[in-house]
Amino acid sequence: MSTATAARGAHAPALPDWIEHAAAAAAGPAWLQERRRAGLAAFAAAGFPTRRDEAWKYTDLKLVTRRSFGAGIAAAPELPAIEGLDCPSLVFVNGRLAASHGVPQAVGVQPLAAAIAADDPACRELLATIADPARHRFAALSTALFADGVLVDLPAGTVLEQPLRLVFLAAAGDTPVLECPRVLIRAGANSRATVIEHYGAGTGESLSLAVTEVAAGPGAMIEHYRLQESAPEAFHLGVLAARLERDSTLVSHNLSVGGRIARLDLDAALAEPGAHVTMNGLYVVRERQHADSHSRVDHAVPRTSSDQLYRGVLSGKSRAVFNGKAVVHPGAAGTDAQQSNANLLLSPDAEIDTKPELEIYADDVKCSHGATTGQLDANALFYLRSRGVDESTARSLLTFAFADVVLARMPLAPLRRHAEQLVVGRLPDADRIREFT
Amino acid sequence: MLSIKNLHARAGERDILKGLDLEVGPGEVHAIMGPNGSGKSTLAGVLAGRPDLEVTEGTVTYRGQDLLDLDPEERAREGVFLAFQYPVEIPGVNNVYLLKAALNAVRKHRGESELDAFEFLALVKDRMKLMQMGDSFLNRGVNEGFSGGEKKRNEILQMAVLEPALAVLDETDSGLDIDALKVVANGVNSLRSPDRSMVVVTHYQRLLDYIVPDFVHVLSDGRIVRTGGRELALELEERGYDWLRGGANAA
Repeated sequence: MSTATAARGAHAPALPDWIEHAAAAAAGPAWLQERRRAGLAAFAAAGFPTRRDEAWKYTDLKLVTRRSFGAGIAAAPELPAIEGLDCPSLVFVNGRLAASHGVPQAVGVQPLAAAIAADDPACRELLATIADPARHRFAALSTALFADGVLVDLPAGTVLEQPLRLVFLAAAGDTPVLECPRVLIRAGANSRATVIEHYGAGTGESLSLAVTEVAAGPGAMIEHYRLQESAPEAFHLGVLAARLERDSTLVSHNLSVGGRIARLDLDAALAEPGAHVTMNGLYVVRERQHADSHSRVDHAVPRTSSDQLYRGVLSGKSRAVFNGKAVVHPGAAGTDAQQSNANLLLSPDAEIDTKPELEIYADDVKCSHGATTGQLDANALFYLRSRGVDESTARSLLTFAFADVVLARMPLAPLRRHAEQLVVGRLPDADRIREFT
Repeated sequence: MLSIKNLHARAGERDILKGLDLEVGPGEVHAIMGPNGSGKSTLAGVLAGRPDLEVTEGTVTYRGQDLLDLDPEERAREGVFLAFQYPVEIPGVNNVYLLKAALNAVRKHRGESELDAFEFLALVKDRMKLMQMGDSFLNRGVNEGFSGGEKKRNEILQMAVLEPALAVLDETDSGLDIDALKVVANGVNSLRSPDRSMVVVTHYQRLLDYIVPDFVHVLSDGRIVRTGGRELALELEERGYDWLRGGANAA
């Protein structure tokens, strides 16, 4: 891998103008400029991925590389309504803070640009140190280009009673827009918070390089929601990388329904005993949408656990990729790593490439993985029809039920209902299914 | 109510029903007995419209119309109900919502108004009492995590709410202990009425101690080889099925 990268780097073509422009505009103190340069260099060396890159074998970015992306246009920072959810929110348009609703001063939440300008130590210590630039070239590019974002810095023992909602909207004019939403969460010892990242529909063609880094201190508990409902012509390349210390927990809920091409790389490094990560992922794609979910959990030390549950529903000519990896490092005895991926193909033209991977270099571990791909259960279908439910509704109902296994894991009820309605709205007979939910 | 003539049906390449005749009048309870593999469950499945069964010959007339021409959901709305031998677990589809949708589909089809939530709940709670089911059943997924006995009770609950004209019970007694059997049988008996017919498929005579049939038919190799009254079931219990297989060949 490094040889190949170096070889390609030696002949790397110059970066596209739009990247050079955005990089030239990205400001910051010396330490940040240094990280930006390193990020840009890492991206330049790797270049845009092609199908020859193992990690991008099934996700073709030609549609992205053919375009150039600019600053976008001004737009109203509308907060997409989620019924029953009334909580502090920050709204970003094209990667820049546009509105703030009810975010109290004292809770350790502030715009990233402001935190950097104030030389906040959390930024200096952690920004661009958790997402591995060698594995995530678009995280490296984000580091070079991002303008703003959010810092959530929770002192030890802090409990955020209300969820924090971060909304990111892309507004393109006649030309496609680039946005680089950047989130840094430092959760002090025994702190607790619920953070919602909501990638709204926006308008027009956009490229989102959405990078979130999480550093969870001892005993911290982060419930993280990621709702990706970008516009149908959007390109969304996200990275969520977390490092978890002793007895800390990250629960990630990840719903991907939007975008022309949407990818999320979700990494969790379980760095100290007792750390736990749950990854609940659901992708629902139709027409010519493409969704790619890459996950990786590193069990680096004894007694850590992970639970990955990913499901996908594919219709039309859509395509999805799942690659889930759990690595149990030498000496990581007592690891518990569970992973499952199940897919429902509703059309003969839809395609899924799924690859669960386990690498185990330790003894005394409990690991399981499995992947299934199939159609609706014929017995269940007949059972519903035998109770008077018409076939089309029965199909939609079973499809929804399949997907809802993932959404049912969301403890935040208003968000779960919103997510369920997003899924229902993408199925035939949406109105009929709503009677059942 | 139901008239089956010379019914032939197959599952995949295997012929299972081979010329079955059966007449069921209004209000009658018919027991279908027979050894494993004789075609009992296939008969039940054909009546409900199981898609993996293919009817190759014969007719089934239900209340004057060609039953085989109807989709499973149309049969249900016309008043045909199958109590499954193996009720399907459907996590994510709520038990009570399914029941409500099923009932409203039937009512709509009959030209009746849909029940509002209050009327519906009152009806369901009344029927649940009959089936000795607790409220916790309501908000679970369809049959999700139910024990064998709970699933069978849930089937009869559905039947009690939907009030079908023709109920087909497919081995409803299998997997039930004697107490659960009594509850289920009590539920079924409470639904007996002059305009509701039942076809009760069972391997064992035991169920018929509690649901007393008007007629007993013995199915063997896809055909009815003997018809009698309740006493035939008792005779079968004593003598087994083998003597009838011989009888079928002789006939």
